[in-house]
Amino acid sequence: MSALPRAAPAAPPDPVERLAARLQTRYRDRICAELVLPARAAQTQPLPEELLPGLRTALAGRGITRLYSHQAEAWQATRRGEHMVVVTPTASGKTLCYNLPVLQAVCGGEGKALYLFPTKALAQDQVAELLELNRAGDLGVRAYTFDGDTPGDARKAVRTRGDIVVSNPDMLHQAILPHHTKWAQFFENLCYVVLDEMHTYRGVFGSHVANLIRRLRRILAFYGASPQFVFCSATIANPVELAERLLGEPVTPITRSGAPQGERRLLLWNPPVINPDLGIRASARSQTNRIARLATRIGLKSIVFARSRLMVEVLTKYLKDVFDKDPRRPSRVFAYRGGYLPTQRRETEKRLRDGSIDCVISTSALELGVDIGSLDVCVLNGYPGSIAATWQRLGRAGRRNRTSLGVLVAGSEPLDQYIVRNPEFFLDASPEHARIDPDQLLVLLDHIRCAAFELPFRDGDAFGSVADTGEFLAYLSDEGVVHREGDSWHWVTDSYPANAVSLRSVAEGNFVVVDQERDGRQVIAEVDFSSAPETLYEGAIYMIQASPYQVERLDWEGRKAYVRPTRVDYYTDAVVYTRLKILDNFAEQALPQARVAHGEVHLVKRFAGYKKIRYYTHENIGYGNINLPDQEMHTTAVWWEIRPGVLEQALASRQQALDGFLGAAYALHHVAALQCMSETLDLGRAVGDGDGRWFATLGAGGRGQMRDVSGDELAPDHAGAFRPAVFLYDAYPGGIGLSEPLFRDQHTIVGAAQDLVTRCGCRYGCPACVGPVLASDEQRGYSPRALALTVLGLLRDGHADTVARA
Amino acid sequence: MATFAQLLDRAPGARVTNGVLEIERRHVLPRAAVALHALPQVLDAADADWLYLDTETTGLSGGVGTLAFMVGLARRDGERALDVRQVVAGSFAAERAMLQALAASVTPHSVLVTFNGKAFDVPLLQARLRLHRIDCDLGGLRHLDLMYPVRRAFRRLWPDCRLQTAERCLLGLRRVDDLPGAAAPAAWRDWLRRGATVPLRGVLRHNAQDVVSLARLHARLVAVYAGGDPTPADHAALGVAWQEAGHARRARDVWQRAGRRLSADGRLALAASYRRAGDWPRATALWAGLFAEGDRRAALELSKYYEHRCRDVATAIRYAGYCAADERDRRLARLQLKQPGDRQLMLWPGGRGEPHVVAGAI
Repeated sequence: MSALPRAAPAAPPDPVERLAARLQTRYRDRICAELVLPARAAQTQPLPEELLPGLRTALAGRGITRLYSHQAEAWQATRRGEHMVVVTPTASGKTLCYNLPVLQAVCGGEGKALYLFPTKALAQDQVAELLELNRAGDLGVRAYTFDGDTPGDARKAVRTRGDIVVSNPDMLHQAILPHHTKWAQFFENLCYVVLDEMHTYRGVFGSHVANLIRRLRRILAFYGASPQFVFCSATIANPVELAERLLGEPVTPITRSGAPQGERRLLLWNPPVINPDLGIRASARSQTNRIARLATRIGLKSIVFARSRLMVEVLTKYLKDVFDKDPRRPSRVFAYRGGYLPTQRRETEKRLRDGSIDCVISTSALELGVDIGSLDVCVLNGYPGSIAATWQRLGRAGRRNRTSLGVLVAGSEPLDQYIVRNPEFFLDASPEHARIDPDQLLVLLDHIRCAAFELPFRDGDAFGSVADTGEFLAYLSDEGVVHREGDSWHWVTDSYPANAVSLRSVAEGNFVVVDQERDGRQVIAEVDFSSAPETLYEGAIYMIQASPYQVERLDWEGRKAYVRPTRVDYYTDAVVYTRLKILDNFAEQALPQARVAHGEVHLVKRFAGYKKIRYYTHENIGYGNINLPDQEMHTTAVWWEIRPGVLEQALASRQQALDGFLGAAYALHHVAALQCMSETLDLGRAVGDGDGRWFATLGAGGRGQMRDVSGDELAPDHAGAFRPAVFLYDAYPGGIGLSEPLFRDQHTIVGAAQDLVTRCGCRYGCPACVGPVLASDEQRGYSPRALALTVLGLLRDGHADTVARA
Repeated sequence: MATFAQLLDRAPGARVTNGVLEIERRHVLPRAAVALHALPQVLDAADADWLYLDTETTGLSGGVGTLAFMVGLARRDGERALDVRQVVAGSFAAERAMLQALAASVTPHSVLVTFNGKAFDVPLLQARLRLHRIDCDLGGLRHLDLMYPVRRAFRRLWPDCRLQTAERCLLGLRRVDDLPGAAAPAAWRDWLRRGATVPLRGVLRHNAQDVVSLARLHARLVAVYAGGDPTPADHAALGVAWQEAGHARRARDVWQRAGRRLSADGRLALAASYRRAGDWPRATALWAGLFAEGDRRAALELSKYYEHRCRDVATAIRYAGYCAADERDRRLARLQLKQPGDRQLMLWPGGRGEPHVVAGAI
């Protein structure tokens, strides 16, 4: 890889090269850097000697006569009986790394295999691929999917006759393990378990999956089976660590890809500055739109990734306005995101594969291995929040022997700006760590409960890294769920615990979007519980393939939103207020001027209202109210406070303190997201006091405002104590273990935030450091940036002993 | 903590081995039909070893975490004697011995007789047998689940088809002082935790009653499916059950025996069976009767009969005019082409009324 700027070659023949050259000449000042991953030749090895003849034929039928080096390495690792994790780029023939040893085992009569994919769609792709190999070699291997769509009468055949069963963690959790005796024959002969797309098993979901694997291995031990585990992952920093935490045993890494790759070029694109003093740049959206338009015009197939569902719809509208003006012609531009009905999504995937879509705009939903064929250009509207996701998305463009082009269009946020200004960040490419916390108490208890249902525990039984489950079982016994008899603990309740535990932490149920116009009652989309309040309030404009629907009525209890197609020139965006209350200090550290702590917090999200935003001009053309219940959760957070008295000395007014804290929080949030290598959305920030009496928001005037618990504005100088704090919290119920390392590294984080703000090229503050500031402030010399630096300085000065509290 | 001894006090014929309580008792059944295999599901199982089975469980949720703590079994001895044997696990540890006792009473010739056992009792027991690695393929045995024949015969007549409803409507039985089956899980938990014997005794009575009812219900259903039973039943459906099982002869017998009680559907089915047997006079007589009652399906059959059998197109057209609208239009269009000589143009208003003959030759 090299970061050297390249001179545009004269009239390159390849259309991708031509587009790249055109962008580079026309927009030289917007392109901060170009990264070129040179084409790579294949490194191969002969097929292994011991490969069964039928498999040789199958491979030959698919045009494979030699293995890529990583495939050969994987083969050897499985022969040695090791667990392994395969981390190679998209389209490098990763699946053969496990398909080959599995098919060898199945065809040689050694045993069976279980494949787990995070989603149903991926599972179906995989079976299709296996069936092709099977046909090519006439192997007679029976591979079946087992998921929610498998009809009842086919399930028995899958259990008893399947050589390879392809399923997902949710099915394993709710349908397979609680009925393991039906799978006795399958489990007894199981010799491989494959978990593909391992990088999706992080955070809460990953912690659940780790426990699910503990349960699976417990059942397997009962049936006397100890299969080899194969993990496959997109690039993350710690694949081995993640695999080992998921499995609880050492795994062999396979990370050097031997697959050939066409040249890949990545342009880092910074939108032009339109107001140098305020550091305001043109929007990433307008630039993304422009690049996608150029690519589509010259006949290239492109994929655009946006960071939110709303942005997907807005970009889709703009591109459809250009390319799909004539309703008689088939659409060229499609949106793809979670929330669309499965049938719609399958349809779009099919069109992508057969090449009838010229431009698709997607959220991270297409980041995973859904087979969508090959595309030429990938445009990222904003930094996806992690290096892993960036490469994963860029990998969606690129064919074996052709150049592919990726363009990362930076937004105005600090992280985006940091990356386009420091392209070496990409070169050093330390991708993110995927973190899980399998021993998080609530998750663990849920799975011990499920495990007790599946097989009785005995005194002294371990569960994963929990050496003694006694304490948990005693708790469950007090609850009346298990019964202790002799040295065993038996399930004794009339319930099916797996039904009460959702791996994806969205237990509250989906909302459906009902179109009242079509047949009166047609469901046109699904929205998960957590995003429903922000998208389905009455009056909201909900978009599907960029067609606007207005929400007329929201049935909160019934989880339904009734919509009607509408024609408006605006979209809506919810205004959300967050406040926190500290429930428990786990540990705190006293600093000379301040105090930092981490612990449990109670978080309340209030949906205050929504803004109407006009297309194209993006002006705010009105407000509406949202009448929805507050959303509450318990999670963990890290927070900083300044000692009483210090603040009053350092800053002239409470207003200044508010602005300083909001600016500091902005910088800390972005630095912390980078530091703990999570996505910015996994981490939330808030400014307020620790009792939840008031919280701060950025008012319409760009100035900090204090609001009370019901969201009404307070005068900053109102009577009462004023002890503002910056909170960074885990944005998942119960927390996923982000705040603890942040607490540990707080000194570094505050330092990095100080650096970020100090080194920023703006005068009074800008979106790349402390958040946007107003032109009027700039004229009056009021500097939120200076205020934020003051606050950060107070938070950083010196450090003292950690006082852990039990 | 109470022991099984306290349960034994009130349970003559009981003994305890390995923590398993076994109670054996003989019941006398009312005189009833003898050919117990004379049901569509098991007609080929003459001389079967009928094994009546009912379980009491720790729950209805299913999955390996649910277990049966009580199994009631019964076998006939001669025409009227029923030997009921109940096994109860007094603890989790005793479940294994209880299941072994169950496995020991099953032979390869056993035909299980249950109520909803296909969906509930047998999969549940099978899961626990596998868990204890006891080699007994309960799911592989012949199995007569009485819920299906009951549903078939009485679905349209009864509010529901639970075992208690069948007892009431078919056996004239009303349980007094019965502990509902749903209370069984709590009864066993109370026994485990506190040694409470009273609720568990209630479950024992309930379970014994269930097994006896199974045997009586079995015999009674044989009578119902023979078509001669006085209890109101859906005779049309009974015949269809026989027919689907490949016993056309018995189907016709049931329909014939039902006589006037046979519904229009039943008579239509009976007529069809005559038609297949080539018994045209009986078939047409039934159709004519139905047609007189305004049955459009009979009009269709008669129209077909006159067209194909008698080659009487004019009469076929007359009946076709009374068929249901979609059939009528297609048939008339076709039949008119077949009609020799004078052709009639038939028009009918709005699709629903009777045909109007408008004109003569075209």
